[in-house]
Amino acid sequence: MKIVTSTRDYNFAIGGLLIREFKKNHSYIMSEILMEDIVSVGGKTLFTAVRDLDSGLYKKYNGENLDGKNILIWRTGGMGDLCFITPYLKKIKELYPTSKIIFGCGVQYSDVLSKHQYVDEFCHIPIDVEYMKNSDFHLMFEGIIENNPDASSKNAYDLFGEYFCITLQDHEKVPNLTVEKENLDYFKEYEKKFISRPNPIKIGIHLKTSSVVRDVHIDVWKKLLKAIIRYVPEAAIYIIGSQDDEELAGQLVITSDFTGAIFPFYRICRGFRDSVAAISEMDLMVGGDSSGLHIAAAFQKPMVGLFGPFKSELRLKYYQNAVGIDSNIKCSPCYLHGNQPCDNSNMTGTSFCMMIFEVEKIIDEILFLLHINKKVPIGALTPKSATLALAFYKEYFANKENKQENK
Amino acid sequence: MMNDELILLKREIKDLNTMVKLLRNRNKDLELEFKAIGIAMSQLGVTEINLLNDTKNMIRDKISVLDSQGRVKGRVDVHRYNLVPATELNS
Repeated sequence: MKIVTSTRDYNFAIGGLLIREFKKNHSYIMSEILMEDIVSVGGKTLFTAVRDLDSGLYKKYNGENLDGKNILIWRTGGMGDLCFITPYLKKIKELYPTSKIIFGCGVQYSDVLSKHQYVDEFCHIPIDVEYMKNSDFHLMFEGIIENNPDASSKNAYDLFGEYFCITLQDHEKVPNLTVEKENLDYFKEYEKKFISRPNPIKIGIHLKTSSVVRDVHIDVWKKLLKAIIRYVPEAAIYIIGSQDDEELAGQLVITSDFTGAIFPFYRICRGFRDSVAAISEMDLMVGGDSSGLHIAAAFQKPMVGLFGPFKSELRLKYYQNAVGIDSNIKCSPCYLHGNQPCDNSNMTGTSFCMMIFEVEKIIDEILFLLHINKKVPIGALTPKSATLALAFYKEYFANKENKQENK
Repeated sequence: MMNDELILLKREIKDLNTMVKLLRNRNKDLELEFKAIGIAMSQLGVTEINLLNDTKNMIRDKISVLDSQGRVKGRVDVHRYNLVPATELNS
């Protein structure tokens, strides 16, 4: 991370789309990648006085009493990483009610985090240095998952907890998100307009992850959607995501096999708050290693996650009714990050590990979860999912009896 | 890739380097390409390839996770976390 001072007022489209305003003589904390992007478009004269962040300005929070103090927290990662942070914001407010949390993240996630119940003030990244100067403590999580050897053995919530110097109970390690009435109404209006069947079983599909390395192959999705329609005929399948997902999701939407069962909510999604509202209404979520699963966990929704580069345990361990299907090939888990396809990928950049999911296994888990959540009767189950359900109930009731006896 | 095209490829192939070059020229779809390499490897009785430069090493690595039919070798493991029946949620 570097601190740079802007030599003039200008706007820059981060990632080619999201406009960020930079002011003359203001200093900003930015990654070297973003600096290179800006220089490549606007030239080196846009900045002066480039220096490292560790120049006495960054005061890392190490568990001090925050009552009456300001803490500036920011993260450059995707929505999933922000989800891991949210329970700690709640905990800070519980422990230190008079603390002030200033939170910073990418413009694309600001609709969720700027109005978060535990965020007192919001700022966009790159962070204006004035925010740092006006804060007593800082947390930026640089390299907490990327290039961290612990990231291959510890759950993401535990990694963030160590950085926060805050301990949470296991049941607290779920995202803290709320749904705004306006976004819920928007979703319900969409349903009223397009969903004709009464009381469908709502299955959300989150197709895209924030990294091509973790994206599930389109053929897996195609086969899975066909299987869901076959085994859960009363399902309404919602494609959740953003309008940027059209290239991938459009391939599913135009297929006549899915007409009447698949609903491209992503096409009218105005931001993450709409996605959060939609996911909060689902009966089950299916997705790759992406924020869709974490948002589902915030609302105790059952989920099936498809994992390759990272083990599901590192992401889903603390969630209720979560099933992680882990690809196990020669090179996985590789713990690879970034926006470049891995070496073992095909022409479209899909990692080999994200191609081999057996749809039959995914369907068994979906039916099993729907059944224990009282959405489908036992008669609708496949032999494997029925076996799973019976074994689950047997163990569950045995444990319950044991607990009562002990009391 | 059609079967007759594969037969044609087999005739033209002297070694794996030639095959990779041929496939590169014929196919822009790498996924198909690797599948074809896998099939051709099995038809040629080739189990290992020894290519020279880095790009080719990448191809060798890719092939090492494919079987002779061009399919990815591996399996999936299922992990279930904190299963709770619907009646117990929110309690």
